[in-house]
Amino acid sequence: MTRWILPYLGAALALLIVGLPLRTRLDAPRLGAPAIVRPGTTFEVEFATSLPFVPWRLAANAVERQWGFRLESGGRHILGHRSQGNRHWITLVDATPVQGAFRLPTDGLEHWGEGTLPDRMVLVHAADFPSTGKEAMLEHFVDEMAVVKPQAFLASGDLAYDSSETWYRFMLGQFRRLEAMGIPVIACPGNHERGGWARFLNHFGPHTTHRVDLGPFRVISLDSAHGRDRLTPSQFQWFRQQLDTLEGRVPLVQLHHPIFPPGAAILGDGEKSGGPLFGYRDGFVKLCLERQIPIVLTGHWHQDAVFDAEGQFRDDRADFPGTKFVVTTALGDALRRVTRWPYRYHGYRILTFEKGKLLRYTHDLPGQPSPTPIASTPSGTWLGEAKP
Amino acid sequence: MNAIWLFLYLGCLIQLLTLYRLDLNKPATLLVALPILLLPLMDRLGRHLPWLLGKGLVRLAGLLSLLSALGMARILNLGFWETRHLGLGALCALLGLGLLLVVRSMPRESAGPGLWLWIAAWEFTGLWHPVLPLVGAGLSAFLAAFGRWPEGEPLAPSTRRASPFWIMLSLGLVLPKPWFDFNLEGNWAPVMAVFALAVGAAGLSRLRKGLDRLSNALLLILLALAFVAYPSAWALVWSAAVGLLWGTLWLRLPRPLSLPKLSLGFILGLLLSYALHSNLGIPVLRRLLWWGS
Repeated sequence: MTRWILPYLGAALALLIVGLPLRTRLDAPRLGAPAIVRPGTTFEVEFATSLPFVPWRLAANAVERQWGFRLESGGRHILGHRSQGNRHWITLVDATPVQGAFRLPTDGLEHWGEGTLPDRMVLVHAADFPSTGKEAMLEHFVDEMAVVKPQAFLASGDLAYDSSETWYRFMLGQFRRLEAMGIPVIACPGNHERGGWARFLNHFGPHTTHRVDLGPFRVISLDSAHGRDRLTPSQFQWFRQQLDTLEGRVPLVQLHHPIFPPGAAILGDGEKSGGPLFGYRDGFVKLCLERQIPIVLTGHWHQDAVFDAEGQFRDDRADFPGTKFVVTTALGDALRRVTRWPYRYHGYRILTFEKGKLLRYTHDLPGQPSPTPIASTPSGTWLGEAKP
Repeated sequence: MNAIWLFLYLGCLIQLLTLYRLDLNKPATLLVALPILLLPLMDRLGRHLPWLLGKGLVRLAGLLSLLSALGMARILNLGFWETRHLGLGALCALLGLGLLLVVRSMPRESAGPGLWLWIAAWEFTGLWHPVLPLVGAGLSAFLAAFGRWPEGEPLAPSTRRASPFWIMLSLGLVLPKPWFDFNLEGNWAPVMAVFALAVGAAGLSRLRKGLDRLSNALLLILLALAFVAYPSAWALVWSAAVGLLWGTLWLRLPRPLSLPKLSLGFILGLLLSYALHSNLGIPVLRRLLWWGS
């Protein structure tokens, strides 16, 4: 075996050449997957280093230098740390009391302090964003959020039809505007992000499935666009684990692809939208029912739709029992006619909860019963109402 | 060196491409694919242009291979591969072409557990970043070109014979399952390392004696079963079994090995596996592909 000494020495040298000077990649919390924690509750900062087996203090210094924040600043203190290879997890706690609903991140670390959230909470959901040439649509949406004032914004993929750096910079700027209003952004990727996958990962980090605890909720974001329209075994296992450790929180789920196909509700060829969840659909639906998930939020079809756990298209009523499997229309990309639901418009969905219980998830349309089934909120509705 | 080409270069490259996708309309794609496209021509080129395999050029190829692997890994380490990037495509092409020339210049096959331990160690580095196994490919090319590659014991020929194309096709179908499963999470890397260790273990005399009793057909059927029954939570055990099965078949391949045949079978298997796993809309496939998970 002595013949192998030189190759292994060469290997160690090669790894040093690749990894020096020491660099880091911040994996969590990131924009799109923030850590939202109550005072005194721990959270983890996760990062990777360019070399394995680096002492954690050295690695922590490198992450602070590179990303421009101090892990221990203000009321934040390091409680513990663990490492594995080149991955590091540093446990932090901040006991500083929070005035109002949130203390916003100020130093670049996506750590939100959670204060007193109202009993009635509003979340906004959207997918299939506008693209280059329609920047104003996204700007108007953000303006509208200043009126709606949700406690969080959930973005379920196809955020970047244009994978250019220009678009990403613009979109992230709009997300930062939402954050400045005190609205955390929770995002997951869709199929179009695959077109510039490296860019999406650079901006949102490598954890394309993640969980964010927010007040009474656990928002679980999944990535359905591996290969095509599916969950993978390990992702499904991770999903189950998140549901096993809810600690009394209400689980909300977002992913890009609708869970069910249009079925009998399809209109013509459904504009060939396709894209229901193929892998692990049965197991996923079963878990949603077992764990009493009130709502599963998706996009992809560019038209509103709602299904029950049997996969039945529910255009008869909005308040049926069990999990609501919701598809929300496009926020800005081309509209389609996938199902027999007669309305087509750009929009987003407002979800209203009372003490964690889902009260409303549809928007009343003129001339329709209240609550109107299926319908999302047409873009501009609240902006128009806010104008004198 | 054939195994280095197949697992540390070709396998790692395709694993990266399943993560980041290739845009067929972009020139960088041609660069990335160039070493693979040239592969069937290498024998002919070697015959007609013998100076290609001269000592000086092979050393230059080994050096370029290492430098381009290091360059690529320095750029990509902790980052993500923008596959339309021409510079990265060029580095990838240089690494592949250099390695190809070195492999072609070394007709003798390395054997023994040391080789597979080396491959396993580099596969494991994929846990830190998926580009790192390519550094292993570049370093192996460099060592081989400068005569520092540790030659293994000559392989004792097996009494049974297996077809290189079909053996590699079957592996190409089975092996990427953990890549598709774990995706951006690095957990596929230890799975690949265990696979490589198991291939090496299959060549150990005591184990080989037992495994030699199994027919090719039975081994292929068991591999097909591993394609269908993939227990995600037990992926390490699964890969050990796949490694033992495939390692037994590897020993039965006719020597000298035909790199174009091996590579073609492997690539076709990987592409077919990718296509199948990306089309779960087909009803029977949906049930079949992740059975066991």
